[in-house]
Amino acid sequence: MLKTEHTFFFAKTISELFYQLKSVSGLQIVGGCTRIETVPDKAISIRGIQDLAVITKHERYLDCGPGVVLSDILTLGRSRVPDIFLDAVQSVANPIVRNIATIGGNICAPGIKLSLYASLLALDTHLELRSPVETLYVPLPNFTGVPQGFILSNIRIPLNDWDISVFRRLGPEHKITDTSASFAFLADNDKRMITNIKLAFAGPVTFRSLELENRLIGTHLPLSSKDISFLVDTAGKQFDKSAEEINYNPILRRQFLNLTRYSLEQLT
Amino acid sequence: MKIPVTLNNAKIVLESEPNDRLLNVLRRLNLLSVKCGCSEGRCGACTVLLDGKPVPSCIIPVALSRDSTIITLEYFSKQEDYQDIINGFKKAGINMCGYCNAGKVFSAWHILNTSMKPDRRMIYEEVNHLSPCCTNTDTLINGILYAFDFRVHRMGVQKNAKN
Amino acid sequence: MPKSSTKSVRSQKTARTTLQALDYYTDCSRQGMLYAALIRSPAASGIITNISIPQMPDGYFLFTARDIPGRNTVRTQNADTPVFCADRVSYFGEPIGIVAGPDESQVYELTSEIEVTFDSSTLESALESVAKKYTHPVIKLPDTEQKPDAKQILEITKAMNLDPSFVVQPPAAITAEPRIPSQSENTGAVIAQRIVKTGLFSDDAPNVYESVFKSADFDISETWVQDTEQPSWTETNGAFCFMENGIMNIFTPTQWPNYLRKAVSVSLNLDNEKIFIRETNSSGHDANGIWRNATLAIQTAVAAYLTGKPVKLTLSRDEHQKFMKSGVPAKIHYRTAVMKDGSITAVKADITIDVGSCNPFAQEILDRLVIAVCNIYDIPNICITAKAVTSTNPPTSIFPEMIDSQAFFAAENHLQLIAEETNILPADIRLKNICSNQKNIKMPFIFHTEKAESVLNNVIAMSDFNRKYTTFRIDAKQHRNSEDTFFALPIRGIGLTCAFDGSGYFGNDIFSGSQKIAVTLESDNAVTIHSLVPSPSISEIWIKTVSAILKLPPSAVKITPDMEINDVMPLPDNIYSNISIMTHLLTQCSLEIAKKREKTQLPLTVKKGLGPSMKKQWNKSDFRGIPFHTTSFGAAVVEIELDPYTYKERIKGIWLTVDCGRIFSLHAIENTLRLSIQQELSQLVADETIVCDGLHISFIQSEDNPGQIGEIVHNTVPAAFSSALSQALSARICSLPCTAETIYSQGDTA
Repeated sequence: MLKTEHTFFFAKTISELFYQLKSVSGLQIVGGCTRIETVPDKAISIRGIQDLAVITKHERYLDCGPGVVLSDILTLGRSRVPDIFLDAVQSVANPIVRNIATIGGNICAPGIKLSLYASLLALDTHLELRSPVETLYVPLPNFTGVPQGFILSNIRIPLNDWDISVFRRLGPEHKITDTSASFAFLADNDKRMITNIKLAFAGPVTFRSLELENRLIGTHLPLSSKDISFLVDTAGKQFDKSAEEINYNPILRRQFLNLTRYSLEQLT
Repeated sequence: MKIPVTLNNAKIVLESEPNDRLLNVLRRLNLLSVKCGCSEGRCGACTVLLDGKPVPSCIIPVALSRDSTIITLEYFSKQEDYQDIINGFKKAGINMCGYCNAGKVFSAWHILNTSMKPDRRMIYEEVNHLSPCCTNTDTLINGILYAFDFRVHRMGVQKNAKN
Repeated sequence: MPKSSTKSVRSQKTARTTLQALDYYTDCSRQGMLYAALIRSPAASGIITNISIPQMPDGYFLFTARDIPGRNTVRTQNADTPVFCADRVSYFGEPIGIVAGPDESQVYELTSEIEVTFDSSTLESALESVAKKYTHPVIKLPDTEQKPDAKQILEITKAMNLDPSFVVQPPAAITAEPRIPSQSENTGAVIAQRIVKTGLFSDDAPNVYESVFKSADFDISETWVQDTEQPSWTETNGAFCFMENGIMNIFTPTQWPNYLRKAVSVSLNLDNEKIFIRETNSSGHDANGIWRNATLAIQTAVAAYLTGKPVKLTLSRDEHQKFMKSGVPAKIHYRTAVMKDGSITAVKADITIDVGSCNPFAQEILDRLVIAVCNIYDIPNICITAKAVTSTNPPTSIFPEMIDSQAFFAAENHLQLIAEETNILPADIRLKNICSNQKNIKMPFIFHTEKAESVLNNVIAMSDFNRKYTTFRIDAKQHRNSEDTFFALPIRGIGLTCAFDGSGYFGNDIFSGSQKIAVTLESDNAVTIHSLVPSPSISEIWIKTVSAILKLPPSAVKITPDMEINDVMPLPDNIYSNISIMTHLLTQCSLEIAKKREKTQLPLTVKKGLGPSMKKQWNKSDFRGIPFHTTSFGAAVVEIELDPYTYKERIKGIWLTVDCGRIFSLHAIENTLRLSIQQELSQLVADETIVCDGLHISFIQSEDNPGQIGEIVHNTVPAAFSSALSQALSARICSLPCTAETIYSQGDTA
């Protein structure tokens, strides 16, 4: 009878964490384990590492350790955390799961990107990846996973005020399926001109719609119905490009286009 | 694996496979207030307090609870806060079925403990995920509001007594 | 024999005391307890030739049909089902054995190592399951197979099941979950039928149907399917059993202990006196407590009996949802002949229910659907054909709280369709066709729903239904005709339904008039109600009733389930806690005591049961008359709003008006309805709980006998929801539960 042996390791400091990662081959870092059906054979918990569970608010950005639980982010309130990110956190599971689920686990979860991803993409979040010898800062759009020998040590979320902020979680509320995704849209305008705009989608298909953003910056408001249709088509093409070779539920594409249209209509 | 925890105010060492769910480990220790409901962390039947926060023990590997403080309903039911909650629920006409007690009580406690003045909307956000097996959400909200009143009254009386 | 019976009572008392505090069998345990898990057939059909576990460790046991000491049969009503499948598999997941051992996770691992050998001639369905990536248990082919493609089949089987390092890329069509055959695939037997024909249809003349429908101004047909599933939030099915001093003790959430005792006695070859059943909390949601859980209890008892150790079998949530599903899928094809003024002149309804491999209550379920399918409308010509068919799905049971809801779903949705086709308001269509004078009723079924019109008018006024319906209809048309059909403002719809909730069904095969109650006024002026203790709310009603009639304080009234009554209750518990009948009998007992108390010496006991004249109101052979002892009636309006961007539905309001006779506690009844609605909203759309912004409940109060309201919400809200959704989407939602994809596909083509 084959019974898999599970081993769990612990660390109290980042140095201890590095030491364990170096000493034990195949060791995987876990957070709250809320998305893990089967715990890895060799796992190490960051739950005890205080340095990775700190939230620091700076003037222009918010630093969140990967071990910060989602409920702690909610307690900061709208005055300290961007609305769109707070809406995203609120949409995750339910309050008791949020008491144990971590932001690091949400970002690093394999497979379908979870609910926080789109809002963090739109906010131009940067991830700090640390190894014993170096530290890298990776913009979230370029993040493909934590490299061997590194850990996710910080999540830096810019703090800006936005005139328009739209977040929607798609799919069932309490589970992740092939229709689950998140949509985020941010826009600023000044003197009837779009000065800044971000559009992100994350799920089975994940992307920032940079082409659309570039097209829109500097555009004068209001947008005509024809303009909106054209922009939605552009967004659609971006979606199709990102979704090449990915199996996704067609309802997601439609929802993305609908929400893009809705968001652009908010500008008007 | 040996996992040191503080369980119901007593320091003990749990012996279990690290990936075994905290729910199963607690039930093997005869802490039966922790029930197996949805197994998805949603219904609340398996709720315990982990380091002072209500969490779903059905999705937490026991190893994660190392060095943590765990409180189950068996211990919590001896506290004054519990009595406030039960009185509030009774006033609202809530008869809990026995399976969902942990989720409702600990969620209520968390609201009372973290909010200066809970309102209906805020309580709704906190409890609407709990399974509607025996109590509808509106009645539960009423119960929690009554519990808040009982708690404020009790704490006021205690404060006056001290003075 | 007297000595052993004394011993057995003592043993029963001891067992009862030690585990009395535990309401759930899952909380029970004893030293040396073994955990059990079922080995289930991986195929929906086929003949099993061998079951084996390689390397069974010490202290672990495997029992199959051949190990059962008595008969491998569970007899329920007139239906026999096996405890364990011996050879021919009847349904996917049918238990073929039980594994027991001291370590729970090891027991489950062992079930995944079982090898089940099927007869090669019946392999097709087995391999179908294999191809669908169902990996446990392993399917083994006979070594001596000489067929030319045997080697290829073996390779496929091994690749799918036995070699974890072999990565198989399934073709796109294959799903990860084992597929339960849909109703359309079943070629099962018809095990129950009912045909009702009235008016022009009763002659069976050739071409009568076509002529009736042709002569109408509107001939409207549609097929309706409601297969919503009550989520299970509490304890799953299972049992805890142990032998002590020669007594088999069974702790399980049964609602029919007498039947369970007899069944265990037959399977274990034990006398009834040597079996003690402790009913643990069945939470009120579990229809399986009536008979299906009994099979689990017997399986567990077999393991306990043969090992001599306590055994606990607890189904996982997944097993519970897959194999102990509540409710029976039903498909109803509805065809109506309607005149221009909205009067329905004829209905032809074809009802087909899939009862799985077995359902001993199929006839009653069918009969209830037939009675409900035309609701309270007085239709001169009806032809209802109903049949219950078996399939290779797991067996089903009878669920009193949703027994006829599918019929109302069909009828009420169809009426909404008629309203759209005829351009008449849904409310007017209903009011037009309700029977106003019961003496001239043409329908074979008579319901005491005299206040139906008041109920409907009340809910229409409360919800402003007519105005909203017309407005939303115009909006929907504009959406349809405009270029951007699905954007901008939220799309809204509103639906209206009405339905009755009948209690005390006289046509029930097991309803033998055994519903009795006794009340004793003791010498010290305390009152004892001799009955099974019902739910807290019903208990409160009973105590208040007796206290009011006899002018005694509520504290002087108690409900006591006498030992003798407990042991010999022939019927399921829910029969005895039927509020309408039992409350009526209780009231009669109390009134008689009030009359006699001055003249008669105390203690004074009065017993009442339902008289034969009551039951004669229903003609069982002709299938006509008054089918229920009491009938509540309710009407519901559901208004929904659809987010045009995400297709997320939101309920703006639910209005519910109920006529349920005398109300003892308004607060309690309103809470019950609120809870029912909240539960209902988690079933209508798959994987989602719909948010409701406003709930408005009102009652038509009267001094009539109190009626049950347990089904009202389930009978009305689903149809009102789907009608509202259909209006919002300008499409027809014919089945529930729906999914986001359904709404998306309907909305996208609108």
